[in-house]
Amino acid sequence: MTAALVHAAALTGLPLVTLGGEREALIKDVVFDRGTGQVAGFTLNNPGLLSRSRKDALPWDAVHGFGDVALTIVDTSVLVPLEEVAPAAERDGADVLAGQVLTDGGTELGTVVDVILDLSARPPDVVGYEIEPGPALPGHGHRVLVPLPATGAVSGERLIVPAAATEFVADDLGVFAVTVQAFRNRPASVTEGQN
Amino acid sequence: MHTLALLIIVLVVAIAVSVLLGLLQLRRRRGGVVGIGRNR
Repeated sequence: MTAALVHAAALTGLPLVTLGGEREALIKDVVFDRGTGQVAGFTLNNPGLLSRSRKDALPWDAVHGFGDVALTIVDTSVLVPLEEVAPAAERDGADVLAGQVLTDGGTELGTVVDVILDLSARPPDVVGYEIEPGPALPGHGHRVLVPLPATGAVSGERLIVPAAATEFVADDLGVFAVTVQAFRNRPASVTEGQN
Repeated sequence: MHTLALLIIVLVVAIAVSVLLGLLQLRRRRGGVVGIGRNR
């Protein structure tokens, strides 16, 4: 299947629309499962100038349609309490943006500015980070895309990637779709050091 | 004189409210990417 890669930031702020045509909410956070690296759902904001975060959320399996200008749901009955998608105890401080990226060898690669999702997978898969590179990525004065392994993708305060990932960095999403596959399909002997 | 002072006060308040609303909107729109659960 051809990868359909997007920046997670492109999803935040998208309207959530019912099949009845009502604009119900705006996407606030993309919530993913650290264990599987898959999107679990979305937290929501109310639409409007002075709106606040909502106490309900959108689980991934309740998404009816996923377009570039809106997400659709059948109706508001599919929304669930926020705690079911992103429990408060796990949500606080769990934003990976601005997190430090280290290789499994302990070298700092940079800080995360965005997360790359593959929308061709159901649910979408976290396939990489966009990072502001540090000195360990010479020749990359601009933001780069670093692939993640297919399993055990995303960690906590410090985000650990295999050292081999530095050989598969890309500058744009078109190239990154290829490098992610190359990284994940690389020979087993190269995967030493993954934990 | 009083009218001028009142006008200035209204302008200052309007600017302050605009900045506040802008900051609120910025905060509200800034989404994140939140990881839950445990690593494998």
